[in-house]
Amino acid sequence: MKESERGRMLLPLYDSGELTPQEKAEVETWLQSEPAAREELQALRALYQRLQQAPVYEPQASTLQRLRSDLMDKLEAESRLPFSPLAWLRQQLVAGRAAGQIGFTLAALLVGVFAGRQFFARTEIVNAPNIAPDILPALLAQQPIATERSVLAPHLANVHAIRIDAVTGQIEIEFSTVNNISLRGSTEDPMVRQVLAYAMRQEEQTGLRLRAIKAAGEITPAQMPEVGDNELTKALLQVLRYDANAGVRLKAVEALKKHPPAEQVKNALIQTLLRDANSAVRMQAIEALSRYQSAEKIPALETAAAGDSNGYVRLQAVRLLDQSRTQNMH
Amino acid sequence: MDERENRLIRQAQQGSAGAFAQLVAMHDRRVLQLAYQLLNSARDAEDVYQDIFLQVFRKLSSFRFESEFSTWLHRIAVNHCLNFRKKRQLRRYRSLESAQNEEQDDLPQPQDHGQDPERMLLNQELGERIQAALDDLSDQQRAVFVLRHFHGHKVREIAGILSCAEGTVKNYLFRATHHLQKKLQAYHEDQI
Repeated sequence: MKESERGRMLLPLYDSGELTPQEKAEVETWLQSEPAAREELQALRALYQRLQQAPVYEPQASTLQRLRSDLMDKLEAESRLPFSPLAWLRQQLVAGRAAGQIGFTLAALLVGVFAGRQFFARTEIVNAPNIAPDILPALLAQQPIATERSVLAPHLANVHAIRIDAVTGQIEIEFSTVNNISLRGSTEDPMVRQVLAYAMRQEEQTGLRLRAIKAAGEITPAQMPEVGDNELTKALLQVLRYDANAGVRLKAVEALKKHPPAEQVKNALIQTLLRDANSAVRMQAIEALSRYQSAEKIPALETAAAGDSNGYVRLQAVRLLDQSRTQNMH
Repeated sequence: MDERENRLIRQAQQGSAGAFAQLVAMHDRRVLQLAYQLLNSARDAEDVYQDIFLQVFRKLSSFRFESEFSTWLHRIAVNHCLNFRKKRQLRRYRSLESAQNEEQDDLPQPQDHGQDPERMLLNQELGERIQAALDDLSDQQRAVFVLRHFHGHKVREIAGILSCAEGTVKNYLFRATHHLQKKLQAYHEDQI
């Protein structure tokens, strides 16, 4: 590399004190030998100055408060009802319910698939920090494990590497323990609710998010826990606020209409009416708000009546305002 | 590393939710800023916030005090943000809605520190230009530049955060700085 190229590459760190003495000497030689190099250094210092002038994104205290609160809710939910096949299987094993089913499946499977049906005496988990050795057999179990309400059918996932030690004959296998799991049950089952909520929040495929929301709409009021404990309602509210797809948000409002009225739902609908960029979503939100006889919705309705870009939303807002006034008169 | 932070980490590792909440409160503003700088969207930064700290909670037991906690935390944050950017690109392809619905309130709001309004507006515009220039960079270059200039990490720490060699970090930093210089130079000339 030429002296100038090397000097130019190291120049961004010249003022930082992070260059080695040799690197610093290289830059200084270049700076002394070429006037253009000194200009480059001045330009760089000007850039750093500009970077300091630029405003930094500063989250509001209320935003941080909300995020912290949501986080703690999630952590609490996670510790109360972990959505983790590993944790679930661990519970089953501790309770002794599945222990009889799993036996020595691990040894049989590994021998059959990867070791050419040769028997080896000892399996050592070398590098699987997240898996307790006693869980591994259960992860590889080929038989579905049934609970009162659900059925889990774990399968072996990808094998990444197989190494054979020619001297000792030991075989080292790296494989994934993220299994395909079939879960059957109704929305009464907390685990089903947990998975649906997860799918709504995290699933990449729009179609699956939509189906999860549809399933969440099937829950009957009798099955519905309090909103504070209800993972499904929370997930629907999150979808309504953050999902990039308007169709998904629309379905979330439809599902929420089937849930019993609740303060958090009402507030989310008001925010949707005021902020959602999609008019179809706002139309659904205003329909859903008609169930709430609350004075808190009035300012939002007045805003929508005065300025919403969609004629139907404006019309509905005026109608609901009239209704509210009539009820107040009585 | 400060003693109070060490104590909180140990308590959180032993299962104290209160200690974990305090750790979050000590670091989340910087993490959110980092996520914003890497994702160029306040909404996305808020989205990824939850995932980052859930991951921190799950992995905390593996923290061995071999580096600064903030470096370890930023490693998790950067990985999440880089993955999120990839998913977001995919999602934008798939979604009927494009980036045209990005929220207007994504932009950093000018802080009124007694500056004159014109200066505030110019700085605001400068901030937008910087963010746009950062968006042109590769994921790795952007991460290096942001960690270096906005979060004060040393080259050695950045190499640890991104799992690459120090020489690679220097190379990324040079390329990113050069790009920012070109972009902001053009902006400066426009203004004149």
